[in-house]
Amino acid sequence: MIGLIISLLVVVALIAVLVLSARGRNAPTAVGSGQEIVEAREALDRLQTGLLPAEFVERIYDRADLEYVIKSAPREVQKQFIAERKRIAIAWIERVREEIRELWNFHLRESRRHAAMSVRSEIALAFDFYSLLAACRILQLFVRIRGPYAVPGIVRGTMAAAERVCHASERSLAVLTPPASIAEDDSGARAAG
Amino acid sequence: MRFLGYSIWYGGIALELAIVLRSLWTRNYLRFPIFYTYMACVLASSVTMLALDSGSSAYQKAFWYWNAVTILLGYGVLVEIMHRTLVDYPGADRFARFLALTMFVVVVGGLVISWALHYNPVKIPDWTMHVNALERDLRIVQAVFLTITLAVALHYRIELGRGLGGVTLGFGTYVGVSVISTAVGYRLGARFQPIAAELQPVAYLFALSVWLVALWQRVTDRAKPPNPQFEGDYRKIVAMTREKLREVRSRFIPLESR
Repeated sequence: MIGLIISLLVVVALIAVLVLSARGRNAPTAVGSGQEIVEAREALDRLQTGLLPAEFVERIYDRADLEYVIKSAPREVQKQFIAERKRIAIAWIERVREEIRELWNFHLRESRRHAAMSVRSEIALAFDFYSLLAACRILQLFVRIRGPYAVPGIVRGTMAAAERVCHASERSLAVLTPPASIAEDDSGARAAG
Repeated sequence: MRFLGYSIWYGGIALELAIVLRSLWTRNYLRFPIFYTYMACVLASSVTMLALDSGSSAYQKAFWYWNAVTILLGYGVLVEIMHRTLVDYPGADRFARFLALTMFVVVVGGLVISWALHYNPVKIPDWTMHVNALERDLRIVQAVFLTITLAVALHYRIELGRGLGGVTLGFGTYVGVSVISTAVGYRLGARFQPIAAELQPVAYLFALSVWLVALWQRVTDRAKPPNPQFEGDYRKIVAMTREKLREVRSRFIPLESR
């Protein structure tokens, strides 16, 4: 019986990857042209300049606004305010997910070409990426169900996962000082922008 | 049923012949030499078996001989698929090798444990079925390595292209059906025999059709990614990715203090 179960599991996995390959999920493969490299660098620049300002995030989840509206506005306005905040919070989480996905795609495009690629780093990064995506999805679900002010626990859970990435980044950056060329590129880009 | 069996057989020979002859025109045999060697052997085996009386001992011997040869060449096709898929992507290749090695360690570890405990959960006690068990195990290994290769290709968004994609789809389908056929066939015994007798040939016919369509045109080179300029680039990319990820994460920080 175990032999049959193993056989079935193997075949199910094989069929799954065959179907995904045949569906062409990996069709938009970047071929590594000069244009692709430029676009990837631009994507990184967009991330670097920060599309998600911290003040904005603080504002979305700030209870002070809610308390003010509850105190001083009629019920209709309160409802409208909460609905609007919920919509903004969901849009923000969606934006964060998109940024993470873009970052991940860029990383995959780059890392697949490097013989010096570290398997351990890849697995650790994959775990961080997928945990972040999952955290965003859960956060989004909770905001949908319970509103933007009922999620600090989930955010803290997300933060616990974030801690690992922060520590890994600190360790990594302590060993690998950012190459001067990148810093120069960045300052050049900012000056040009 | 006999008519269906012969139809599949003759249809298979026609398709095999078409694939081999077409490759002479497209010169695709230069791109997939092991695959076309496999096809030539399968064609030779089909013709040989057709010429022999199915009840004779010569037929039995020829059947097992060709079966062994085609399974071994199947491994060659697998290696060719793996090589062609990942040849331009050393990073992805390294990851695939790591997964394959992990799988190998798991299998060897399982064998050692089963030997130490004197208990083999996948053992087939009926000695008359040992050949089937061997075929099942060999096909499972093929399926596992093919799954790893395709999973890595999917993960790293590596495009297979029409030719390689077709070879993989046809081969994968045939291997998958062979695993199911031998595993379920052993479990259900004679009840499954009539289905098993047609299932594998039908899957093979499907594989041949996919191969013919995929390899009808001349297979061209995939666009190659540029070579990494510096050996240290990977570490740079990892550091940049981590830094950017940390930046995205940091957007959550104001919420923590709540």
